[in-house]
Amino acid sequence: MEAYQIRTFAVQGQSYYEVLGVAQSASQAEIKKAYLAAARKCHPDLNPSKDATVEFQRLAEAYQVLSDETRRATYDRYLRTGESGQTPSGGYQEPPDLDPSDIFRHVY
Amino acid sequence: MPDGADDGKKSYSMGIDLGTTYSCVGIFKDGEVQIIANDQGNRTTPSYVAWTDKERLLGDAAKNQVASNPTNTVFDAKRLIGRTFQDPIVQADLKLWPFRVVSDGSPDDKPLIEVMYQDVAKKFHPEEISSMILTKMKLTAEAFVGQRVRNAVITVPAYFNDSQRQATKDAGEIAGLNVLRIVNEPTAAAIAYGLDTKSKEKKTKSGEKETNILVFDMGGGTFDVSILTITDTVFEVKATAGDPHLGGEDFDNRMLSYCISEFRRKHKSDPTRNQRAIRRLRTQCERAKRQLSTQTSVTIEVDSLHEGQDFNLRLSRAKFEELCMDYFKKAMEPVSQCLGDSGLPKSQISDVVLVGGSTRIPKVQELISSFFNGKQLCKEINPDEAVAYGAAVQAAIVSGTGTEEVENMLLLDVAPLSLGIEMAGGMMQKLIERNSTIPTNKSQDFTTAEDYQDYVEIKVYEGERAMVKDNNYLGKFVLTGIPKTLRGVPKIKVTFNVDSNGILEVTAEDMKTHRKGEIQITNEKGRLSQRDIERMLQDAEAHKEEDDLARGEMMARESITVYMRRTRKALEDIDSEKILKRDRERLEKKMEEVDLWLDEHSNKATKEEFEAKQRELESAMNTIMLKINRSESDFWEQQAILPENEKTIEQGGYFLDSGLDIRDLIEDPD
Repeated sequence: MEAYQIRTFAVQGQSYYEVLGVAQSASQAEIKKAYLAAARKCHPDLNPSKDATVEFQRLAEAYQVLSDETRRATYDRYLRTGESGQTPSGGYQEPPDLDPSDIFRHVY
Repeated sequence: MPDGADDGKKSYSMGIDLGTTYSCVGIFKDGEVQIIANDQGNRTTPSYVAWTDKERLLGDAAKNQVASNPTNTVFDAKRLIGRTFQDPIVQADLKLWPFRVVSDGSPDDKPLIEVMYQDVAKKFHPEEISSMILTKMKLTAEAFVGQRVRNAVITVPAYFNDSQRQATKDAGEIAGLNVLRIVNEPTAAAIAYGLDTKSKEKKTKSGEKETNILVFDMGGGTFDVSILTITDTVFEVKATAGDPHLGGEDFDNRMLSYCISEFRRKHKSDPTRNQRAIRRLRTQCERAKRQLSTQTSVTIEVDSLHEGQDFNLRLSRAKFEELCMDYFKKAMEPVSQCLGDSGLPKSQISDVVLVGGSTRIPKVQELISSFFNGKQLCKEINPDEAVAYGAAVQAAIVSGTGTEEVENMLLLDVAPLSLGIEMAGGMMQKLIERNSTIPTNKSQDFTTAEDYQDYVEIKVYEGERAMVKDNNYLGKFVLTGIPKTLRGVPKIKVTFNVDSNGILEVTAEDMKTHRKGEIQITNEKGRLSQRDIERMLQDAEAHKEEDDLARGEMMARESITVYMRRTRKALEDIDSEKILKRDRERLEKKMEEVDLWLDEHSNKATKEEFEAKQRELESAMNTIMLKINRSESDFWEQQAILPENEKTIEQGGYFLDSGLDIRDLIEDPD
C-alpha cells in the first residue's frame, strides 16, 4: 500500500553552531576543538547514559555539516534565508528545520 | 563493572579478532595488552571446526586433520555469515569448499553447513560455526587469566554490512559472550598503531598534533581501507571503503586452479572431484604463497596426489603475481575511493599502515607504495595481531578496566554504507549517508496515501547506487495499527538508528497518539530470530560440558608440566651434600616415569588422572625436601615424636595440600 512521506524537520531550537557552542564565525580548528571536547563528555564509550548518546548524535550531525566548508556554506545560507538546503544530488540532506511550515512531500 | 565483579576478583574483557582463516585474542592485563597463545603455543588460531567419529575439534586440531577429513572440516564461516544461500558470492565459494552447504529452505534462504557426526547429518548456521571459534578463543583467554571471561569486543571488517554485523553479534551471543561492542578491524589496528607511535614519541614532546593515516587491511578473506585522523588520544575515522570478499584465500584459489590445470595437462586426469587431493594441494599452495613473500621461486610438491601421480611444479614470484594481478589492482580502487571520501589529498597521509597477512606480499606493497608516489610504508605493527590488540584496548575502554592512558582514548567510527528507503520509481532515498559518525540517528515522518489506510510498508536498503535494485535489500518494515482516518492525517515518525556497532535499528511512533505499541514493525532482515539464538545457545551449552572438561584437562596438564619444570630446577639447585644420592635417584626415576606417562597419556588423560599424577610427584618431592630441611639422622625420630595434628608440611605437620598424610607415603629408607 502506498504511503506519503512528509519531510518535516523537528524544530530543534538550536542551530548547529549552538549545539557545538561556537560562534558562526568560528574557524575549522575551533569547530573541531569544540566537537572533540564535547564528544569526550558524551560519546557512548565514555558515558553510558542514554541522554549522552542522543547528545552525541546531535553533536556529530552538527560537526559533520560544519566541518565541511561546502555544506557549511549551504547551511549558513539556509540560516539567513530560511531556504531549504536540499540539493537534487543529495549532497546536503538534512538541514534542521527552523520553519515548521517548510514541509517536503513526496509520493511513492 | 558489568560482569564477574561479584567474587571480588578483577573481571577481564577480551578483544577477539574473528578472522576468515585465523583468529586472535588479546586481553588488557596489568597495564598492557597481552596477545594470548593457545594450548598449542600459537598466537593465532585457525578459524576451523571439525567433527571426527568421536569428537568436535577446534582451531589447530581441526586444521591439522583437514586432509584426512575434508568433508567434515568447516572453515570460511566468515564468508557465509550474514549472506543468503543464493548470494552469487556464496554460490561461487561453494564450488571450492569440500564441506556441504545447503539452503535452509525458508523464504529467508539462509545457508546451512552440513557435516556428518557419528553417522548423523548435522546442520549448522554460519553463526554457530563462528560461535564455536569464539568459544575456542574465550577458552584460550580464560586459561591465561585463570578465570571466566565473558565480556568481549569482536571485530568485523569495516565494510561488513548490517546483516553481517548482526550475525557476528549473534555468534557472540551463541558462544555465551557478553558482546560489548562490534568494532571495525582497521579502526582496531589504528589503535595499535596509535599506542605504538605514542609510546615512541613520549620522549619528544607530544602536543596537539594531528596525524592522518591510512590503514590497509588485507587478511585471509576480507579487505578494508580506512583513513583516520589521530589528534592526541582521539581516533577519528574519516572514511572507510573495502571489499568484504577479497583476501589471501582468493590468491590460494588462483594458484590452486593453476596447479589443477597444470596437473591435467601433464597427466590427462582431473583431480577436481578428489576432495582429499584438492585439500592437500590447497595446503601446499597456501604455503607456497607465504614463501613467495620472501623467496623469488618455490616448488609445490605433493606425493601421489591423484591416481598415484605425484604433483611437482616450480612457481616463480612473477608467475604468482601474474595469476593474482587483477585482484591486486582491484584492491587499489577502495584506496582511491576512501581518499576521495576523506577529502584529503595523498600528500596529507603521513603514514600508510599495513595490517593482515596478505600485506606481506611484495607486489601488494609495491602497488600501495607507488600509489602514494613511492612512499615508505609502515610495517611497525604486527600484521597478524594488531586487530586483536586494538580490540583488547577497546574492550578495556568500554568496560572501564584499562589504565588512565587507555581510558582517555576516544574512538569515533563511521557507518560504511548509506542507508535509505525505496522511493517512487525505485529510487533510493538516503537517510543516513555513508561515513556518518556512529552512533547516528535520523527520523522521517510518514503518512497514509489513502483514506482509512491502516498500514504502510517501507523498504529499507543499504548501498550507494541511485536505484534500490542495485543496492542491498535489508528488509521491509510494515507499520500496522494506524488509526483509520482520512489520508494525510496520520503522522508516523520512523527513526533509523545506527548504534555504536554499526547495526541498524528501526523504531516507529504514531505522533498523533504517541503510542509506540500501536505500531508493529516486521523485521525481515533474514536474521536469526531470538528463538533461534536461544536454541543454538542451548546446543552450545550441551557442548560446554565437553569443553569445560577439555579445559579442566588442559589446565591440569599445564599444572603438572609446570611442576615438573620447577622440580627439575629445584633438584639442580640443591646442594649435593644435602641430598642423599639414593633420594636424588629416586626422584629422578619418578620424574622420568611421569615424563613417559605424559608422553603417552597427555592427549587422553582426564583432569583427575593428571592431578593424581601430580600428587604422586609432589609427595616424592616433599618427602625429600623435608629430609633436606631436617637433619638426616634424627628425621625418623622426629617423625615419631611429632604430635598428631592436621598441619600441613609447611606448618610443620604431616599433610600435603591435597590432604594426604605423608606418613602413608614415605617409605622407610631402610
